[in-house]
This record gives sequence, C-alpha cells and structure tokens, in this order.
Amino acid sequence: MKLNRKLFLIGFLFICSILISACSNNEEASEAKDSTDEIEVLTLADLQENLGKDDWAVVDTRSNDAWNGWALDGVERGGHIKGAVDFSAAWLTADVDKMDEKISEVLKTKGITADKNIVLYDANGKDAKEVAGYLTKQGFENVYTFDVKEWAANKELAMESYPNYEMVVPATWINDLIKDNNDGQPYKVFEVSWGDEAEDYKKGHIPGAVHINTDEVEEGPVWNRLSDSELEAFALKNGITADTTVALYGADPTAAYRVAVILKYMGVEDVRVLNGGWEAWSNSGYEIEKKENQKTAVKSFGATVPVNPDYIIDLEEAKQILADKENSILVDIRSWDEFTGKVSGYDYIEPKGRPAGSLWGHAGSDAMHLEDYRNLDNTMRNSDEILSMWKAEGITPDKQLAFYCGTGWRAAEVLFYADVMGLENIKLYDGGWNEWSMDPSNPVETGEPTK
Amino acid sequence: MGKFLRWLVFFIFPLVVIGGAAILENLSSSKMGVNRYLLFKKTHYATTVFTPERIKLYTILLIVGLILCLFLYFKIKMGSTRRLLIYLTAYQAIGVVLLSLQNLSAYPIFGFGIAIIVILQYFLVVVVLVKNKPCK
Repeated sequence: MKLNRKLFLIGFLFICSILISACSNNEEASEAKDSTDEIEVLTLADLQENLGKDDWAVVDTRSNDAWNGWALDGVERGGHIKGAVDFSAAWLTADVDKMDEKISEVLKTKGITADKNIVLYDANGKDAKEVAGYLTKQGFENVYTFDVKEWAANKELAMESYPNYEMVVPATWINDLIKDNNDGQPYKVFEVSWGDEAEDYKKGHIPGAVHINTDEVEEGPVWNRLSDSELEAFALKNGITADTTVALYGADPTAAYRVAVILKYMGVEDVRVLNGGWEAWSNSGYEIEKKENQKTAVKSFGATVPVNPDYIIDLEEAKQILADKENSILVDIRSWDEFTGKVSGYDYIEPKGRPAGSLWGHAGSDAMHLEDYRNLDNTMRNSDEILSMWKAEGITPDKQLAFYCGTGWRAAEVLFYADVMGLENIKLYDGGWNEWSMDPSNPVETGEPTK
Repeated sequence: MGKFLRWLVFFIFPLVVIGGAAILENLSSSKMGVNRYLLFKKTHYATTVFTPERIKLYTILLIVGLILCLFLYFKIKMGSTRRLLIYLTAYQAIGVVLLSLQNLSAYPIFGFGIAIIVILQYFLVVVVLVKNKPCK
C-alpha cells in the first residue's frame, strides 16, 4: 500500500514537471514569435536618412547570391544597398561547430552590435524576421526590418553588385538551366570530386550531372594541371567545347573551383560554380538524382588550348613575379602555420616554409579549410572584407596578383573569387609550395615575415 | 614460448604487414590523402630503394632463395625445419609476385613488408638449423 502511494506521488510529480516545462516552452516560443511580430518596419525615407550613420547598421539578410548581384525573389535590381553589410539568414542554420561563437564573431566583424540601430532587409518577408528573432534573443533592442524591393524599384538609389557575379551561381540558376535546357545552347553540369568511385556523386547529385574526377585534370607528384593536349582530350571526353556553358559543383567546393579555373585557362567561355557547393543544392529542395550519368564525348573543342594562357602560370613566371616587387605580388593562400613553416600542411609534402618574398593572403585554420574566404554556409565572402584582409597584409589589387597554395586548389577558389570581384591582373601559380619546395635552390623563408 | 614466437613471426607478423599494406592499397582508391601520400612515397622510393635495377636484383635474390629453400626442403628430414622452409618458399614466391606489380599504389609498403618478413624468416631458419645440428 505504502509502495503504491510512493509510486503515485512520483508519477504525479513527473507529470507536473512535464506540464510546467511544456508551458514554459510555449511561453518562450510565443514570446519569440511576439518579439519578431512587433519589430518595426522602416520606411524608405527613414532608411535613406539613417544610412551611413555610425549608430546605424543596414544588414542584407538575403542569400549570398542576392548580395553578390543576382536579382532574386522578384527584386527589380540585383545586388545590395550601397553601404549595407551582409548577414544571411541562411547562416543561422549552417552546419558549423561552435555556431554561437562563430556567429557572434561574424556579427562583430560586420559592425552589427547591440548598441546600434539595426535595419534588417530582405525580399521574401522571412529572412529579416529570422535574423531579427536571433538578434532579439541576443539582447539587441533597436531592430527594424525593410523590404529591399522598395529600394530596388527606385533606380536612383544606389545598389552594388560584383562585376562578374554571374560566375558563382545560386541553385535556382542551375535548376532553370536544366529546366529551360539552356535555351537550346550546349550546357553541362558536373559534380567534381577526387576519385573514380565518386562517393559524393553516388549519394545523390543534380539531375543530369556527370562526375569529374580531379585526377582527370592534374597529375602527381607535382599535381600541376595536365599538358594542354591532355586537357583538350579531357574536355572532348567530357563533351566540353569552348562555347559550352559549364556549371560545376562539389561537396567540397574547392574541387569545383580547381576544375573551373583550368577550364577558363583552356578557353571555355562560360564557366559557373554553384555558390556554397552541394549543400546549397540539397538545402534548396530541388530534385536529387541517384542514377549514374555517362560522359558524352565531342569531337572538337572549338579553340586552341589554352585560350587564356596567363590565367595559370608555372615556376618560372612565379619567380618573375617575385622579382618584380614594384608591380606584382605572389600571394600565399595557406594557413598561417603553413605560411610560417610550422607545418607543411600535407602528408605528401615534407619541406616547410614559403617562397621567399611571398605575402600571406590568409586561407583558413589548416590545409583543409578556407574559412577566411567563405561565409558560414560555404558561400563566397564579402568582397570588401576580402580586400581589407589583403590590405592589412600589403596586398593591393592595383598590382598583379598570383595566388598559390600547396597544390593549386585553395588558390584556385580565391582566384575565381577575385575574378568575380572584377580584379583583372590575376592568376594562379599552379605548382604552389609543392613544386617550389621540390627544388632546394629555390629561396625559402620561414617564421613571421619582417614588415 | 618458442612455439608462440614462431607462430607470431610466421603468421601474425606477415599478416599484419601484408594486411596493413593491402588496407592502404584499398584506401588509396577511396581516400585522396592516402592516394597522394602513397604516390609521394612511391615516387620517392623509385629513385632510391626501388629503382628498376634494384627491383631486378631483389627479384633475382628472391628466386635464388626460393630455389635454395626448395632444395633444402628435399634434403632435410627434420619436420619442423621443413615446415619453416615451406613458409619461407611461399613468402618468397609472394615477394616475387608483389615486386612485379609495380602499378600498386602501396608498392613500396608491400616491398618493405615482404623484405622484413623474408629476412626475419631466414634468420629463424638459420637459428633452428644451428640449434638442431646433430652433435659429433
């Protein structure tokens, strides 16, 4: 009898605790909902009046593609409001370790602080609210929203886009490309990753996409691009001609950028890379195909490879760039530890250090990462932030910039971004540290650079 | 203890060495890092330990050793030594085959592995032969 009473008491307390916690969760949820519903919508006149003031921050919460220049969600003009900073709602749901820590770091970098009036703009009525919800939870009080369609409709109001924003594309662009069959013009979609087994491809891919193994365009032990005739054979095998629209993507976006840069060097006129990689497609909810698509060959490339020989350079040209300090910079796209010679970054590269005279262009935490050039959702980082990061290291876009890394992958991604940003005198030093360090007579530096 | 040591040297150790190399070989087709590391090592050893001339020399040595072991097998009547000689002959035959498979990604790992196994087993055969030498 006593036992039954005890059991009844425990059960009663358990049910009560569940009910109390459920009620408090509901209260929290309704509070959060109320807080985003109550956010004031700013008028166009108010935004114009306060834009540029030190105590105001205007924030673009749309996708990175909209920021870059794509006119999405019915906005009349692509790009972002001049003077705004970017903080996409998509970053809040990105799959990243130590998310809260990273988000607060990003907010700080972009000057989005609680002591300011924050204007969050979007075009779909959702993104700004999502970010507003997050910020109010973090203690931000003066938060407003704004519909960018209103701004974009008035052509007298300044909007900015990257000169070559079309080079990195949103998932919707690839979906339209496939749906519209590129208006009858030749096109190809490729999933790019290392290996013939193509595990990423087999898990699911963009409909119609064909796998490219990165070993189809480069060869060890130096891991430089193949010879021009071999690259032409690669293009023919994959059905790529100079006038084919080529869209590339990969679970690791760097692999896609590596092939994209080689295709541009060869002379393919319209090369696009999916901004944010495979994750951007899988998050978009578009169809995912699992059947393996075969390569379809063509007989002629339609141009003499390479059409753009200066886009990728080799050891001798890299030495010339180092010798011409007045006009050129060899930019190291590796982690700080690789640059200073603490680690080589690779199991297959033994020497540590950097080509003497090269400048550090940032990269990421190690040889596998490129966080300094990407947003939390792996899309391209804000151009102003890239330029200011370079400026701090003495890298200015008025000079000829040749990017290198270990074997030409990370540097290829940065070269492509520089191209998107409209920089003209840019190239990839293909061999990078791997090739440079193979010849002991090449001058090498280690440690922190002397300013 | 002696039996256990022999068992360890003749079965477990070769299994670990050749098995490890085989796992690396298998991973080289699915892991980019492993593939590039093995290629780096292969390229490095192709100019040092595994030059074409040296591979020829190793192959000849293994074949000569193999013939010698077979010869001894038919000469010696001691059961345990005969068994050792059979294993040694088999490993040398495997070595000859592996040395000819130069397209293997883990080629130098297989090469080093088989060299260590054969040397160790020759040592054991000599020890057993000396230990069991009939007194005059």
